[in-house]
Amino acid sequence: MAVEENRASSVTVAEIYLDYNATTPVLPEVSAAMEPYMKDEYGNPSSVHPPGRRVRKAVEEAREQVARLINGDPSEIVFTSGATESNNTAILGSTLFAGRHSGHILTSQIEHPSVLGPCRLLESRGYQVDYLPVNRTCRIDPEQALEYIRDDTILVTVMLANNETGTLQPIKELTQLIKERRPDILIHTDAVQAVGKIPVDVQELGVDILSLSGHKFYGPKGIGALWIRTGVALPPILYGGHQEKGIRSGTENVMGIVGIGKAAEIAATDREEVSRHLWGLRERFLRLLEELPMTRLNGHRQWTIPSTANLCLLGADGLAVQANLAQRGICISVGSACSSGSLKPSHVLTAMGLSEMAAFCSVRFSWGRMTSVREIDQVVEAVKEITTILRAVTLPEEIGVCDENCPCFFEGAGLS
Amino acid sequence: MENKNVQILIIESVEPCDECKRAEEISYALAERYPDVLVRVITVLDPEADRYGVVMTPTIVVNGVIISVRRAPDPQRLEALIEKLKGGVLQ
Repeated sequence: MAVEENRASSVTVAEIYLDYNATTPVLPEVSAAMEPYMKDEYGNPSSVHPPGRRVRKAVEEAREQVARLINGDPSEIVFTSGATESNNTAILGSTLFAGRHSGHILTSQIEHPSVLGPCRLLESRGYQVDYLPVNRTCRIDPEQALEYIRDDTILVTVMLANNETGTLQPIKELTQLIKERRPDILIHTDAVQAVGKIPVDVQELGVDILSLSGHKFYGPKGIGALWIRTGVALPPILYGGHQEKGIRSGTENVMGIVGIGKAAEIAATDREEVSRHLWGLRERFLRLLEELPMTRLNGHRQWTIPSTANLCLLGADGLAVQANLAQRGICISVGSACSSGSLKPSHVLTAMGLSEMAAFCSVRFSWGRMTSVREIDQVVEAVKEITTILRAVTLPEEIGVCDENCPCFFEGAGLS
Repeated sequence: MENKNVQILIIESVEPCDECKRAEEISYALAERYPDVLVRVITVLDPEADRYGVVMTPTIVVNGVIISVRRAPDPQRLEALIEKLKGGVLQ
């Protein structure tokens, strides 16, 4: 990196967006489909007059499009405001709002905060919650999950793809094992990071409830859905005008619903082509593992969504990597979060056994259908340069505490 | 801005924390020994800070490269970096 070049860094650079797990751009076809509902088609879908009926038709069409994407029935789709509401409805609806005052819930240590949050609330209200551990590749063991099942287990909620590492959980196997023994236990999966990226088939997964979100697959923000298997009674957590079969009261977000419908239709149509593109980008990106020493993939190499790679760049502080990349117009994420003024390592990475230091040295890259091979190449080069510089100027112990049980030691990438 | 080969920019919180102060001490001590070093201190409210996407303080920038976030740099490593930069190029 030439010094003079950096001094001139105030020059505007083109952005390379590699944070698709955070959110995706809205496809032009999606925004075009939404536009009439921002302007002329302002009716309330609950109204019986023509403007209301026209909008109702659009809502029902979107329901069919979303159902088709996951091989569900349109009558099983409930629109929500997004993943947080979907997950809260599934977890709190099947417990607190079902009139129960106690019981057992099984989840995992690597869930999204919108699952962990309601689980912690339940704990504070007298429920008992177990958090399944994961192995070094971020996978739960379905056989081990069985050991946690109790007579009073009400709900099992485990995500399909992890948002930080992209690793897929063996949900089909988990569901089969549990349902064989206890068909009464409700199984929910947060499939937000999987839907639209890999084929998701609710019949194959065997779950009872599934959450998804529009803005993770090129739809708008503020719209999500729950798929609830026919016959499963899920009490609502919002009460009011009985929209969405009473499960989600509140006037429908018509514009968002039309948007998620269109995004679902496109995801279903383009799936194979986009999937090939994403896998190609991943393999190209992962050459970083060979070209940059002391670099480790956090997550499973094959059992993953194809759009994510979480890398531990040992000896380089993830926050500094992120900031330097941002300066070059490259947008990525780190898993660590600032809480009460101190930095906490990612709960997902520490659950995988990473030391504090290794977790702080980890960064997430996530790409999408708009990402080009050239952009991946530019990012790989930038990461190599920045990491090399940071390793030269930082003492590993300044970043965080190392731990001899950290997987990096077992896999030959130790800092010795 | 003076024409010096090594420019250290320290981006601090409005009320500097202990690490911010330590970053200043370390940098000014090196600037006394290396005439080629210029140290500047700004707060997160300075528009220049926006350019570096500051998420935590202190953020230490050397010749445009963010070398440390949330901690003062290690004095020996920073000195080694200055030695390299006196020649002009950071690699």
